[in-house]
Amino acid sequence: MLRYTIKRLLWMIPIVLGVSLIVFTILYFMPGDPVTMIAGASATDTEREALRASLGLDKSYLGQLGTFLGDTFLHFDLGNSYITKLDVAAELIYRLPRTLLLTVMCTVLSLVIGVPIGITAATHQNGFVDHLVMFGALLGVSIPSFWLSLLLVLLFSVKLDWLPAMGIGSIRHYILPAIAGSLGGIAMQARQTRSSMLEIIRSDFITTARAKGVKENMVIYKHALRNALIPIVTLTGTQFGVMLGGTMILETIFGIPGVGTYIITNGIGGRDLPIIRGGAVFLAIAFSFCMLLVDLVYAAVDPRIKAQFVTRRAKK
Amino acid sequence: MENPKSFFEINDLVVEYYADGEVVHAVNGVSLRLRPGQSLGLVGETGAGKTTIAKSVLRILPDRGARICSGGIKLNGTDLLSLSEHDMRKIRGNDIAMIFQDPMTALNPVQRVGDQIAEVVKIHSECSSLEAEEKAKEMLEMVGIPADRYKEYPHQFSGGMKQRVVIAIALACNPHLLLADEPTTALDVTIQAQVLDMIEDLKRKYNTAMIMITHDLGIVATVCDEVAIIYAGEIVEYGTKEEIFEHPSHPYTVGLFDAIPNMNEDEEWLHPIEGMPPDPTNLPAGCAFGPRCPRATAECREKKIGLNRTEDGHVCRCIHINKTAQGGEV
Amino acid sequence: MKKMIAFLLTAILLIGTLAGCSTKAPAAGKEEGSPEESGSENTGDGTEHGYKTVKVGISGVVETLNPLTIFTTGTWATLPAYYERLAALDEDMKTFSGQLAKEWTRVDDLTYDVEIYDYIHDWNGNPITADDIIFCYEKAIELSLSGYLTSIDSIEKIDDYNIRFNLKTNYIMTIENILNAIDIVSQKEYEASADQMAHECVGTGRYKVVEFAPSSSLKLKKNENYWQTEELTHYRSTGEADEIEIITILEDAQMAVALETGTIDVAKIPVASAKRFVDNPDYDSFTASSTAYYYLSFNVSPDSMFYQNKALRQAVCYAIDVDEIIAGAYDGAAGPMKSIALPTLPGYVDKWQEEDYYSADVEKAQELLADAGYKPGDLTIRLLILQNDVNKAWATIIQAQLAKIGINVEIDAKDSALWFSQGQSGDYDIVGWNITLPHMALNFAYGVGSTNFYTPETQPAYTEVLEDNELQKLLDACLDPALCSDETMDGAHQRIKEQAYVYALAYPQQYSFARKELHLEEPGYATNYILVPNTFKYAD
Repeated sequence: MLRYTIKRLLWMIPIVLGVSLIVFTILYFMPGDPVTMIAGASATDTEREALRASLGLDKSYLGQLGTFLGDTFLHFDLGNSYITKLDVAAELIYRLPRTLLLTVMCTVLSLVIGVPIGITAATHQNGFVDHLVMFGALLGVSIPSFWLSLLLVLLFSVKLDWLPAMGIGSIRHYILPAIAGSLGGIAMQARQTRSSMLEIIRSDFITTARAKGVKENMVIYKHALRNALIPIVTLTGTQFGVMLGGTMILETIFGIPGVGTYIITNGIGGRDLPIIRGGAVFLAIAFSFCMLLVDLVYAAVDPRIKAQFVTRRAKK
Repeated sequence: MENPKSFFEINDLVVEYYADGEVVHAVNGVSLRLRPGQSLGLVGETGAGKTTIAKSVLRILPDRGARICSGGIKLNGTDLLSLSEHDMRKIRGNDIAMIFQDPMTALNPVQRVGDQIAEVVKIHSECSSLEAEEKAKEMLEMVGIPADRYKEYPHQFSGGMKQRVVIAIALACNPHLLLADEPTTALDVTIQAQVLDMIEDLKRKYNTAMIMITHDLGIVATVCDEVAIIYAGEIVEYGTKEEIFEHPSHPYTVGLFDAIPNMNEDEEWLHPIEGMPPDPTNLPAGCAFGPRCPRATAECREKKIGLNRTEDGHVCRCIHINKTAQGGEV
Repeated sequence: MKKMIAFLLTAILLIGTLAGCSTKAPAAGKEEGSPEESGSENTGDGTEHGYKTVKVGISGVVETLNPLTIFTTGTWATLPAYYERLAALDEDMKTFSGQLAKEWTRVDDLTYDVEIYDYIHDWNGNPITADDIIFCYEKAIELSLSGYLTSIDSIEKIDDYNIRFNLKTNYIMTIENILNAIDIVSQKEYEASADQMAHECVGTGRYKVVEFAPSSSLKLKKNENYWQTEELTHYRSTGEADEIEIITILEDAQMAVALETGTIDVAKIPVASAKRFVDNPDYDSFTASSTAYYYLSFNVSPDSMFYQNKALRQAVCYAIDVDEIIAGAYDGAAGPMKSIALPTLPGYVDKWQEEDYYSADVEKAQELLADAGYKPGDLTIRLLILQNDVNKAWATIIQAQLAKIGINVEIDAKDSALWFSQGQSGDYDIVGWNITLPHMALNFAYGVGSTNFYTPETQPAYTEVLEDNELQKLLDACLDPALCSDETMDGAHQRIKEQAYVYALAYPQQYSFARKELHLEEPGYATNYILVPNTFKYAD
């Protein structure tokens, strides 16, 4: 298992390199000149050229690529924001805990609410509960988080005054964004769990378990669920990875300075290339880790997969 | 055949399935009796209703989509169909156990093999986890699997070994009655022999009664004391092994035996039974076998046929018994 | 059954969307809770002058406290509280006066001497001297922080409190722009800071930064040891509140929510959410001009349809009805513009406001179109605008208005980076531009003329682009500090107007609201009408 993990970690290097290369190239050819944006309307040509040189934007494609790759991978320096001159890596680290907290809360909510709902729907297939859950799930994936966030704020902050509308002062500030952000996740987990469970429940070994006299509860949770976990784990891992960089809407509405707003509003909106690049590298690494964790969880959950990961050794 | 203090009996069991708005008449009034330690072979082709009968005994038919409409199942006098779910659970795996057809999918892939055996022990006795583990190891040894393979997973076992594990699970709590649903169908012939032998040994050791569901007359000949032939959810012939093998009376039974190729003679063609089994959603009004039967007359199509006694004393659901296929007198 | 469910749920959803419609007034019960929330210990009846804590919402982020970095919307609002400059705009938004500088004198056309107060010190007691000033300016030039600094040739230290600026070029307001370009800190403190004062700073301002959550909020506390005397304190350094908390709220709807719930006490509220505060007795309202105005700039390069075609340009101008735009895009909360920037700017001649400015006249437009040599249906104009709802609204109105005289308009809305760069590419026939330089002459120089920005350095810009020698001469006179006057400004303005090189639309109003308990008399603004919290004035 250890060798498998190390192998995967080593694989991350070409992946992150690849992502960096692609992002860099896209940014290079993207219209919208950062120098013009920063220098402003009233800058002179000489001034713009000086700025361009100081930012290293006067070099050729390969020159800039070389500098970027060298800085990032040899010195672990993601550069400084063109506009605020703050260190990109430091800013990402500063903002990460907030995004992480939000992401973790949403993921936990998705699992804790979504999976049981899915199980209930599966065990009551075609009953009223099942239809209710499926409809609820449809709503959940269809409702835009933007709209829902504002609605939640209107209800819980303005009318009821139970929760703060925005900011990052305490955990309470993260409750509304977590609810708004997890609705889609709950819906997806519920649907996924339901379909996984339905498939598993029809399996022969479930009949065996019942024939042994196992309590129905145990049949569902111990025997069925454990087998149905694989797709659920996949979904959780993907959701988590995507949310790490994709919480921009929630962060903007709820005033949480996190990674999402940083990369999209500051980076892309301001054509602040180091932020975009640094953000892409960061997300590539984070997502790779998520996927590695997912695979490790697979191995822990399903011994057949673990066997696949460790095949080499047995063949002597 | 009315034994007042019977060990196990099924009386007029009727079971229906519901699918796509249609009613499937799976079991249509089946009755049978068992004495302790006795083996009954339940023979019929696929879809005849054999597995349904077994699952009905344990009441593990799917919740939606299946229903035991009427009839009774008694074990040592207790009516199983009227027990609460809670009480029924105490019976499953404990007093009555089942071995399933496909060993490849019968075991939980993510649970250790030993634990699966220990689980059934723990549910039905007050013992500790350690004791259950010990018992499970014993069972493994008993089915011919080294106890140090306790911690392995099903995918690490071959088909035959998996089936042995299934047998170990079934017998771990010394059940009074074992329902074996085609336990060797999915295995190759050599393994088949081994498994059958093992079942026989254990049966003898624990004096377990058994209902062996199969479509293989050879297996019936090896392990069963009595035989019931099932066709379209009904028992069409029922008697001791000798009676059935030496004097098959129902046209269907006759057809089954005829279909076995004769190793001693030089035959060019096999002798299948003409026609197909009836559609269970739309059973014929009279004898279910009528449409395929060489002996069928108008009388057969009119109403349901009851059980009639044959010459040597066993029962047969036919009004044209004691006649050969050619219609002559026996 | 399924149809029933579907119908029910559609109904629920519709009702749900209506739930978002705002109620007229916030719950009256809210107000009792607010004194605790705004943190002021006084009961809010204004018995004390000087408030404990005022919370202000702004829509920009403050990511760093570094004085020597590029300004953003967020820092425009907060910098005046903790940093100071050599000179800054007075309350009238027109005149510059010294903040750190006592006075500056013109030695000759390209040389100015600046004298600073000799008793300036920062929060840590460091005295600010010419060395610090020169350090900051040289750093700013190195980092290319401000275009105005490129006019500087060199800076000399005359003595500890006197500095000489040698300029390369000297246009109208050049020296003022230079003195107002950057904030000054002590060299010692700046160099001692490990991160260029990004998270902790030492300034000379009226307020100290006591807490800073980057991109989220800023807490300021009054500096008891402020270096300047009461009488000489510059407008930009005023401060009546004891503590100020500045909270960043990026989402428009949330700004209104924050004000309603008492999370903030005062903020600029976008027009869409303003209705519930306007006639609300619990809030004081303040209006001001906003700098989100736009003017249409015609592409007059040789390959454009508008090249040497005054009749066509004027046809477009007459076809547009600004009143419709004010009603349709701004909901009535805007005034018609007569030139390309605000009337409050230096260099704006008041009488321009009264003049006629291409009032809508469809027939005249049609005539001029014919004069220009086009028939209805011949032309398709590509219009570039900055992407937002208001701009899209007025662009659509213009599209309809021009359709009436048979000109087809294609609207292209882009985000700020693309709008900025592509607008200068010459690919569009008309660009909706926005310019906010501090003097009208500069606005004329940079904002009129094809769709490119030309700098005085690349003169003779107008001769080449507009091929308009007359305008060139007029503009030269305006840009020369010695020659600039109402007459010269008027001359340039009339020429630009008559040639219809640009067409100004409307200048929108912005609303700010404050909770009544705050007793806010007057909010303070920076040149671009961004609220500057420390300059707010409260009633006694």
